[in-house]
Amino acid sequence: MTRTWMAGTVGSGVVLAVLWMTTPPRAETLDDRFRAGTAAFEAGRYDEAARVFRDLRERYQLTSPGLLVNLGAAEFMAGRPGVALLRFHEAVLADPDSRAADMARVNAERVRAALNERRGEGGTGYVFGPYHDAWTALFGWMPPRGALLTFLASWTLLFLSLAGWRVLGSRARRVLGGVAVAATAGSILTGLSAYGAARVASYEVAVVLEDGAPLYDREDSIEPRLALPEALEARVVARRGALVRIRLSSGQEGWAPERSLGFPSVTAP
Amino acid sequence: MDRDPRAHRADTGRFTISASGFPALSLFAPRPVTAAEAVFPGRVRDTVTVTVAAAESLPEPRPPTPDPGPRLPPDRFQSSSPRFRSLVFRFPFPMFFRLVLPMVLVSCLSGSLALAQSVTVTADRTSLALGESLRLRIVMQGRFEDARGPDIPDFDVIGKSTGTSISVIGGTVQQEQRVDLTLVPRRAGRLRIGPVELLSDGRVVASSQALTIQVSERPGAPPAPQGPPPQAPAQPAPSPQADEAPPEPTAPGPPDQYAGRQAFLWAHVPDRTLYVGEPVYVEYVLFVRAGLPVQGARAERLPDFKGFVVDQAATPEHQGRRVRVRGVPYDAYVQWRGAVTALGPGKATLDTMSVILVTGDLFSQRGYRVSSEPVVVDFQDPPATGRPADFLAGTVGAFVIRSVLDKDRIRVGDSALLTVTVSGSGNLRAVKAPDVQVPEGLRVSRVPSSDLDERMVDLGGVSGRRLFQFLLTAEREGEYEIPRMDLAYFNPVTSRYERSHTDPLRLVVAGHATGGPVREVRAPEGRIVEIVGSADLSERPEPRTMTPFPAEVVGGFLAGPVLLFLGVEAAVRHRQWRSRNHEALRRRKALSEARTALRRLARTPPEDPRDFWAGLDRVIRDFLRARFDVSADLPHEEVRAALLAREVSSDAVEVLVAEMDACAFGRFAPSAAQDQDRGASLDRVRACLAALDRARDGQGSR
Repeated sequence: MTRTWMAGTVGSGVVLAVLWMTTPPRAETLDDRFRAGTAAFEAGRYDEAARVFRDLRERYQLTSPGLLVNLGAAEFMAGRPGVALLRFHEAVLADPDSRAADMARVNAERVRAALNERRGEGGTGYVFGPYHDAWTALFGWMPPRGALLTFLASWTLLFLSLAGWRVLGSRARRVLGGVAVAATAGSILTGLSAYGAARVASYEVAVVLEDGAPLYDREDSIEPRLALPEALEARVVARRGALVRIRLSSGQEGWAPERSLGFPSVTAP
Repeated sequence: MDRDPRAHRADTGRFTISASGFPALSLFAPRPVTAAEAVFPGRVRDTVTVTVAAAESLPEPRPPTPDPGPRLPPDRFQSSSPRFRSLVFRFPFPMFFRLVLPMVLVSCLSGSLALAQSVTVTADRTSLALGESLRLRIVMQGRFEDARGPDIPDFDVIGKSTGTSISVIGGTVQQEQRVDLTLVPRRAGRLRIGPVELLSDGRVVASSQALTIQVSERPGAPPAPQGPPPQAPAQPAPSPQADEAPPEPTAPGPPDQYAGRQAFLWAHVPDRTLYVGEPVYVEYVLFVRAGLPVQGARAERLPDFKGFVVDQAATPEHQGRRVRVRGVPYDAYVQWRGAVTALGPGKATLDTMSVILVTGDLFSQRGYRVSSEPVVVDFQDPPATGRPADFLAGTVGAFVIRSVLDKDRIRVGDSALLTVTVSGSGNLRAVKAPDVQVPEGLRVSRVPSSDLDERMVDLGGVSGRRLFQFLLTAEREGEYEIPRMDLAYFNPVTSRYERSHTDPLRLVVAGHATGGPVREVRAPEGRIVEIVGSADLSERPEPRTMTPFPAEVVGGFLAGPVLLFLGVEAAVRHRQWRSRNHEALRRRKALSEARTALRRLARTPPEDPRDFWAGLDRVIRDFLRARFDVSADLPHEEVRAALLAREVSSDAVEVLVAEMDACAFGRFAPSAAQDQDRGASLDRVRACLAALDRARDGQGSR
């Protein structure tokens, strides 16, 4: 009886062991991974959080704005402000009206503020901020779609009033003449605004990812004119091979290696 | 050039060199001069030998003019060196510079003499807790002879630094002296910092406001964190400067026996009992009687300081200040300053120092050696009576010890940084790292931190801080107390042993990441970016085009109104044109309308032949009315006449009239034969009308 009991016990153990070994591991969903990254971030393990979020983005081709915001935050806290700003730009590009985009904008401003404070402690000497020039100052606040619609409405009103002025009687012509004059002025203003807003919206932004990235005066220059700090934002003016002509907010232009820059894109890597 | 210039003995201390053709040069020679070299303007340098039997003397204060000034009695000057060298005076400036430069300089500096005295006292905070410190800045401007205050009986001075700056604004030389004091309150309450007063000619010329500082008990601290232990007074006594506290960068003035000398070098040592190991502030100050045309001074011989450890401080370049010695005004210039620390008890001598004082103006300068007298100082060992057991030899001064942890909660395996700071004035070199006694469960290791030490020489000798850092690594979970650390020192001012100590510190150590009271090790305030808690990962946004609408749509919206307007405009213009050219159009269309009517007649001939001929006649008359404005009611003869009057081809007119006759005949007397000729009539009429139409505007068809 003892032998039978022992054999049964051993057999049961073997069966249980085989069952345990052959049971498939519990599947981990993408949401589980996202939560794991969030938990790592909350626990202060920023490198781990960045690795998890980066894995979701690169391996699983996810481009959710929320993921990009978290990835940017983790990258910044892990000491990579350039990549962080790039991800925040991408989050805004992905869905500008989303809550995550709002958070990305706030985070980007905080990152810039932090970098500028670091500058005050003997840092780079550059001012970190979104790219700006005269066009962005004048028209950066305008939504391009609204500006264009306003211009088209004013444009249409101008020619309708002109047509009515030609067709209708003298009494109506006086009114329509005034409308036409106003519509002409409105068309000029709204047309300029629509152009400016569209121009600003079409700016391609670049973020310096490599601290000390060289900026050359010309494509064939050997000695860089400037060493750009990480997380500096600029506008892409032209491309030539592996060089990108960028314009800084200070007005300086030059050629920088493409590898040292990041360009926001919502397409998965 | 006269190669034989004459030299004239003028008087004691003054002689004149002259050369023919040039103005005489007047020189001071307050001592025996063997030769002088003169360069006359534009000429080769000539050397003249002058023998002047004068005792060494400095020139009396005078304006930089070539006129002789008042003479000095020989006994008013004490030669500092019997080995006085012959000096060679050169005049390298041409006459232009000799005349113009002084005028320019005088005009530039004319506004620099009116200096207003002012003093301001500011504190970096008005309230603090016991154990904290505040920084008091005293800024004094203008010329003054002495300063008084501030009266700070409720504070300990644990640090002091001084600085001087000179600026020229609008031609006015502005001298500013700054004294920064680091004060620690002795008690809680509303403590007063008295005013600082600037004195000149024995009267107050400027005064600052008194300050009131609110000092509170430290929340949660023991009742007397800096309180005295039973054996020794606990509070650090004021630093050596605190009681004297002259907010001056230099020491008090020299003794009265120096009064009356033109210049002297004085070694200043604190007038109190000095101890071995105590950094003693020493100054060698050159006093020059006010108004003496001083061009500069250079050190010729520096003291050796044998038997001392020396911390030399930088000598400011523009540190002159006005003092009075027995009522005689002097300008004082610090030639050397620093802290010396005696290595052993007994009498030690501070060597003499010699400087070469250069006087004169831009064109005539002379140097005089001025030496200090040796100073014998008696250094004593700190007394054995009352010496604490933990007193370390050389710890002489007034110090405050503090400790702080960079975090009060860590996890097992993590570390916290314990920083112990000893600040104050005295022999900071002798302060050793405290022995940190940590409870079991914590492991302590020293972190190199000497690069964070700060030492500077000031009136108190040496002040600054020593900083010791220790890494406390948690090995077990629990709540630990880092016990207080004591520092015993000998205060040379109070001549007593005193003691300062830190407060006990608490450190909470949580378990591993699986639990424990600590949720986060990293300070949450360090996180400046936020994340989203959840996200729709399936969201795949499409790349957005930068243009808000497709180009075709925008183009359509742009072109549509324009085309609409152009269409309306065209219609309006067309209507206007038609109204203007109505008759011409009617004439132009007469033939086509006639042809249309003829085709209609040919296609659908009326049943009644009379109707056909009546219709044909109507076509002809309508054409004539439209084309030639000939009334349809006229008889045929009048029609012929009217057409001929319009220069229409007579053949065509005849054919037309014949056809009209045929129509009339057919209407009133239709015949079968004529009726069979309908088609031919239509052809003839069509050809006839075409021929008539070609006669437009008087160009008849021939």
